[in-house]
Amino acid sequence: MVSLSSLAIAEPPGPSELTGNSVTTPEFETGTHNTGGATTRLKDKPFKLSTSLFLQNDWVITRQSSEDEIDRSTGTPLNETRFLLRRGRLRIDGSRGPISGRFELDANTVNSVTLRPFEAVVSWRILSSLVPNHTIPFDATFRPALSRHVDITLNGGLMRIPFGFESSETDVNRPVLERSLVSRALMASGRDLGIGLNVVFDIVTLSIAYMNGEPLDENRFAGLDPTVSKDVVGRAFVDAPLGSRLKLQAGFSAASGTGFHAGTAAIKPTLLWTDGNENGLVEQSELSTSAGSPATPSKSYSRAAIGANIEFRYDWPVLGQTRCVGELIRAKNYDRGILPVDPISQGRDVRELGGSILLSQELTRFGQFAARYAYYDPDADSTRKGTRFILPKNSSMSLLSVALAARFSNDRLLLEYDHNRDHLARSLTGIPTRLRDDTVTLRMEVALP
Amino acid sequence: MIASSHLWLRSRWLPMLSNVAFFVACTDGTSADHGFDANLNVSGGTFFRGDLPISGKGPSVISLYLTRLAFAAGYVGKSFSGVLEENSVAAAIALEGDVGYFSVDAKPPGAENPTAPIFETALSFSRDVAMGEHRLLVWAIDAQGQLGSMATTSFTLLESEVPDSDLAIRLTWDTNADLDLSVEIPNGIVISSANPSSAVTAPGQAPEINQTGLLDRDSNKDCDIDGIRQENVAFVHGCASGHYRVYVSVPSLCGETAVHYRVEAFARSKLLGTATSNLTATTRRASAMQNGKTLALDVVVP
Repeated sequence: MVSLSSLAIAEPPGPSELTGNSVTTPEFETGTHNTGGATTRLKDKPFKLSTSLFLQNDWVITRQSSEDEIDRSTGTPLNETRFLLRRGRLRIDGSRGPISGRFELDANTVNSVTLRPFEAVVSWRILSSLVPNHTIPFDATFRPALSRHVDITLNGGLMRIPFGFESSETDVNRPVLERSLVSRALMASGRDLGIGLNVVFDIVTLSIAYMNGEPLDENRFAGLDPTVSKDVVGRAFVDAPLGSRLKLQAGFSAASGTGFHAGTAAIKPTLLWTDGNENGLVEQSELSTSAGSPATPSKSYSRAAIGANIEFRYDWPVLGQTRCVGELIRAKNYDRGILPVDPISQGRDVRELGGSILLSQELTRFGQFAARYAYYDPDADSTRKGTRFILPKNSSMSLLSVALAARFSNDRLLLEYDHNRDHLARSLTGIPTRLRDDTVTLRMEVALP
Repeated sequence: MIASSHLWLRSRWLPMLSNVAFFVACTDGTSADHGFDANLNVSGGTFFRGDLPISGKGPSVISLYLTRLAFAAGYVGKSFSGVLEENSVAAAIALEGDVGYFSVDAKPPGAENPTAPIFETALSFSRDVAMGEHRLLVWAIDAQGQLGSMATTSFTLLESEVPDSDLAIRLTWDTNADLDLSVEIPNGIVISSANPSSAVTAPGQAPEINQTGLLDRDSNKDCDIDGIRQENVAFVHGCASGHYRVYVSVPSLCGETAVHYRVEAFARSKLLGTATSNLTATTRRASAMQNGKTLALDVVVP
């Protein structure tokens, strides 16, 4: 057996959200790997397996929009004041030499009892000068070493979408319950199928991926792809120290791809009867015809998004770290999570704008306080019908989240208050107005080991 | 509860203050209350629980139009429209004594009165509304949210209607399940939702009307709940002598645990006979094993 250090090959990507118990086992597959003159059979190299568990159990103590009723069209409960399993993740990481694999299962009861693959990534570390267990592809929490180094990794499978700060941030590190509105809208679950390249050069990281464009949690085609063309998504960021205690991360993201509008089947002409005088009898004047329509073909449309983010981190003695994060995203036809768009049906492009500002403060290693303001406008050009004219309509929504957490090693007990500002309800005069939907949630979170 | 004479001025400082105090602002906006427990449902309307903020300074209602002023309890989709004074942007509609009211958007003026906005909607009534006379209360609303004077229109809720015919079979039930009525007439033809008319049509000829039975509707079809829970087969122009076997089937309980149904036979609105029964998921399965339908009545016409 040849030791890993003598091969000058770093360990493959380790777990990003979770660290696991490692099991080193020899003999897994055959093959050879040439490393500067030292030829070694891969089957002789040890492989490592690690498992990890991550649980988030939520108690939605109160949510204003809850009703003891069901949605009459879908049959789903309208009550959201409940206990739920938000995330139950079981993950296995395996690696041998430059090749590694990661498989993560997600169980939750958000919409129903669900068990699904959440990540399934095969990674090949093409080139690396990092020390073992130091690189995490597509992970914004990655802290590069001060010495200059290079790391190039090819990834394939169900993996993170490298767009925006929050899509890259791990659930463990996020100081509030959920990602911001715009991130959830554009990237849905933040996981999609594709291949990607992750390049780290000193303080600069570049992640680019070629993906289906139908992320998990997308409404219609999650995990599938109705179009031949794929989405190209990428993010570049620098993570640099600005002194002994202050660090800066600044990034830029871009995405471009193709959306899908489903065609319709042919509709036959039909005879309609409207019982105008409600006497229960069919009369000549109450009959009308509905013209049929031919089948329409499916169409595709272009979509794109750009985003920028900046983060400052300052480490205080004893108290802990202060984080300030700002992100701004502009997109066209890219909402796939909150209000999925179909510009073909709407007859125009749909422009989205969103962003968030987060401030968090560690309170020693036992506590954390965070506040985030998130804004999202799913359609900057939306309109509504007035009695005489078409009027502009404000569709924007915002969410202020205030969270206080008690921390025990990797585990947290987090209490959060969310105050919403949106235009999803209607006032007495028919103007879109705020839907009362404030929420108080208690989260019990454990990351094992 | 909606009272026609109640006045309540909404103060304006509270919403302004709540906009400033972000954390205290959880009470502004509109609640997610759908008003499923209200006795009136207004299609396309927004429900507001409680009393109306009536100021009397808003525009007035010019006219109201309700098709047929007497109809069956539990009626679904009754057309209701009205003409509002200029500057109206919406109309508030309430059933007197109900737990809340609905707001519907006004539409552009019609050709008859080019300055007056109109509203058009469909009303559905709960079966819990008592038989007898009731009042619909309507207010016009301007862009500032001010309501004008109240307009009313009265209507009468009747017991479930029976077609005035030589022979009528009526099926009614009490929960939102999907039940089907079918009647096998003396010549062997079965009138059902798949074959709603017993008329035998010769090619090129008009359908025979005499002694023809017609099924009026397939209520709650495929669990698309319409709330009517009633199906009738009527022979308006005579009926042949012989046995009329009346069957009830339950394609789906639509999530309900049980259903109680009643089958009645009438001759010129005179009750001939009644059959009632209960069905649960278990008895429905047993029924399904026997071609899925139960013989409820056998009416003999001499």
